[in-house]
Amino acid sequence: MKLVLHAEWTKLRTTATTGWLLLAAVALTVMVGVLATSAVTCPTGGCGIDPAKTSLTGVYLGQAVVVVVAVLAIGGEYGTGMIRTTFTAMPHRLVVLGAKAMLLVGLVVAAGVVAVLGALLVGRPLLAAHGHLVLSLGAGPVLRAAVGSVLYLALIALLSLGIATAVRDSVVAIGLVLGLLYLFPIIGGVVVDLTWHRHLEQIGPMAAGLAVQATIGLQSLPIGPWAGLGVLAAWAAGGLLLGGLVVRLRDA
Amino acid sequence: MPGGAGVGVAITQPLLGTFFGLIAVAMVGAMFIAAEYRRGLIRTTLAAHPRRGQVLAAKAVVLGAVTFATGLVAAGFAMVVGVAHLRANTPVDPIGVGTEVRIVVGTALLLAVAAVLALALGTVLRRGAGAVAAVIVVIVLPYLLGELPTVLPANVQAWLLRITPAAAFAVQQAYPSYPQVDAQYTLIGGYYPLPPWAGLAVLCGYAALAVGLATVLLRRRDA
Repeated sequence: MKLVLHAEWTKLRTTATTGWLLLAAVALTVMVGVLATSAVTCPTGGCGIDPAKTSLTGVYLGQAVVVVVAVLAIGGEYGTGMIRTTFTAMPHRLVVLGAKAMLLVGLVVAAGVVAVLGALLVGRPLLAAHGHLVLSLGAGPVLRAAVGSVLYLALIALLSLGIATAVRDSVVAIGLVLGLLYLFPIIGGVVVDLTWHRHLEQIGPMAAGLAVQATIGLQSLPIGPWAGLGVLAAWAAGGLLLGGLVVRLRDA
Repeated sequence: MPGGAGVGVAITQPLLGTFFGLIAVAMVGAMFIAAEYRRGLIRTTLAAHPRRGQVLAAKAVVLGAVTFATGLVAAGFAMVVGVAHLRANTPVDPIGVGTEVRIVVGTALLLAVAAVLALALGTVLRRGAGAVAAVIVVIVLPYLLGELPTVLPANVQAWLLRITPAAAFAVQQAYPSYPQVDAQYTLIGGYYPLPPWAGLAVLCGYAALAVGLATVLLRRRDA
């Protein structure tokens, strides 16, 4: 396992795009957070905005970059044919997939911590300047939102890796994952039936997973913060399972 | 009930599939050039026709025509069948034939221009993966953030739908909004902050910028 990890780490590290993309994920997450928090200028100080959630709006954008990183981690190998060399050198394909997953989670968690902390720290004074009541970083709900957002990004990476392994093509995988993430809530938005609308928010990977960012109005959420992250974890596990099955049974 | 000012369901609900179509044409557009870069075919193409600007223009015309025709058939079919299905179950506020034609043609144009934008970004990035992600992020994500009720305040949402490529979905607005009528003119009800063609023009502007950048880079860079 150590050898496989080392080999996979070398591949990830020496691919020119990985570092730049992770840097872009951090920069975009913080930037959108700054834009969103400076735009919330309601004089009454309330207007129903969740301060932590608004500071972390950038996760909506940052996750797209994480999807690209995770898809390219295996899709790039299928694109160039490198995957055949990889599997010749390491015939235990599931071990290869596991090594890729572990390294990806490590990288995404590292980038996610920087991005989430940056967004929260930059957003605080901006929101406070507009008269919003902002909890300190150490407060329970804010800490949950921060840790949850980092875990959210890691789970998105695992889901993307699984789907990319299953379809063996970067472009198709990115279209599928981003479609799953972004279109679920758009479709849910126009469903008139309230019960169905609620169910869609409970099972959608993004809507459920990002419930963990809520720090106010927890009673009115369609799904609890940690339960929502659990739903996303189930999606990620499903994606990885599918990818694992396909890579095990099919030619590379 | 998201019928906006009227009593029925928004007549454009059958066009929800536009988002799926959008992702599909983004893939087609980006791969139209990125696949050539991946296989090295681009060198043959540019050797056979050294006027690189013309190569890109020809690709844009072919891609635009194909996606427009496909979009026209798809949107027309979705409107005719979908609205008939809606009418059978719920009251639907009627719209004029002119509006119906504008919605169908506008949707097809939206898909065609989005495909050309994907082609241009694919040329700039020379990678299909990045280009597809970029197109989805700049068109679908602002729409989503404009629709979600709890993330951003309403004034920011309205600006997102004015200045990002997502503004193009205004071409699907079925009912006019009246300043003297105090109704909920929200995105879910089918109302957009920009007039229909102005919204599509925003997307066209971005696509034109991207094609310009792609032409310059294609001319200057090694293939």
